[in-house]
Amino acid sequence: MQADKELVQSFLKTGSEAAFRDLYSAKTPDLYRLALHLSGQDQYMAEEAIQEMWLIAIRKLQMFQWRSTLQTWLTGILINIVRQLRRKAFQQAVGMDEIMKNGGQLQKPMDIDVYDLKSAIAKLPDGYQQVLVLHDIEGYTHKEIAEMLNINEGTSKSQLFNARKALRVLIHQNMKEVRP
Amino acid sequence: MNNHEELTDREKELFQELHQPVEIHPGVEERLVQKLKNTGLIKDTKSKLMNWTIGIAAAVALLATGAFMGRYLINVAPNAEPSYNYMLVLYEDEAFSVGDPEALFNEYSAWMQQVYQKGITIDGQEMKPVSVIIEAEGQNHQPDKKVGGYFVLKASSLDEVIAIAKDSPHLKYGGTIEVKEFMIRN
Repeated sequence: MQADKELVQSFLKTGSEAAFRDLYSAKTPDLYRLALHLSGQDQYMAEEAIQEMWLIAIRKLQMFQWRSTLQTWLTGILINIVRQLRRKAFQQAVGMDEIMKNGGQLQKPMDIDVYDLKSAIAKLPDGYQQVLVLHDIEGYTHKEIAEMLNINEGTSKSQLFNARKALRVLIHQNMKEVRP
Repeated sequence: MNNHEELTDREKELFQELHQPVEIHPGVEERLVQKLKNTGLIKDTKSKLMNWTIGIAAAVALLATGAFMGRYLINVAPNAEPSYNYMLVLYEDEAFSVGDPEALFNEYSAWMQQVYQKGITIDGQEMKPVSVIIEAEGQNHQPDKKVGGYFVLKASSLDEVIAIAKDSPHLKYGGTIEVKEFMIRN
């Protein structure tokens, strides 16, 4: 937090390219990974989202009040941008009903790998995907997620429960298709 | 995978793998920095415009302080408010690209010395990257190049000014120059 404040203060004081690059280097790697997960591993969309996020953030940085961490604030901006880009690209995720239609009850743990997981996350509906990525991959608390997504904590928890359930169904379905 | 709300150890392990750092293409940072500069959101500390201005300013300063040959100084500032009769408008588009700032400085210095040595008064000014285009409602004429700066000169003929413009480093770096003569009404 303190390091972030120093970076922001340095940028606001100088407005210099060097100060911006310091800020960019410190915050971008984690945000880019998040953008990739939220865009279905679409590298170009994730890169565009990162650029847009910084353009907005730099314009608004002066007004940032530090009521949340810088990371949380930037993440909130990024999520909105990815949402818009996905809508623009007609990347409509499959609905929950559709996912659960052929899901059934899964009885036993299966041998899955990271690619199965990535592929299933990419197919989750937006709301589920955002909560699952933020909680299970990025490690944010429900309180932080609620703030970023402008929802309450209870909704974040129930979204996570449903997201995990849908994710397991999607993985199961994918595996049946690939390894019948 | 199981059917419970809690993650299994294997799931946790996989999510952990997805948390590993992912490298972003360095071109993203460069494009972003350029956009921020173009919109005036960060200071253009290394920009070609700045380099250009530094070159001009330094060259003018050297002449003004008499660091170059004194006899030319007489022609440089014959009075406090020199008048000009030609303008060079310096345009830049995507083809415009400058290299080493020090080399650019030296080139502009040499070019301005040559101009001064011809007894021609010259002054210049850089322009900020952001422009405001005002036009009638319903029109949408976006310029395909921007004005990076200008020079004003007091020269004896259009041919003389064209020759000066052709020697300018601006052309070498892919820019274009428009030569305009002032409308002087007596």
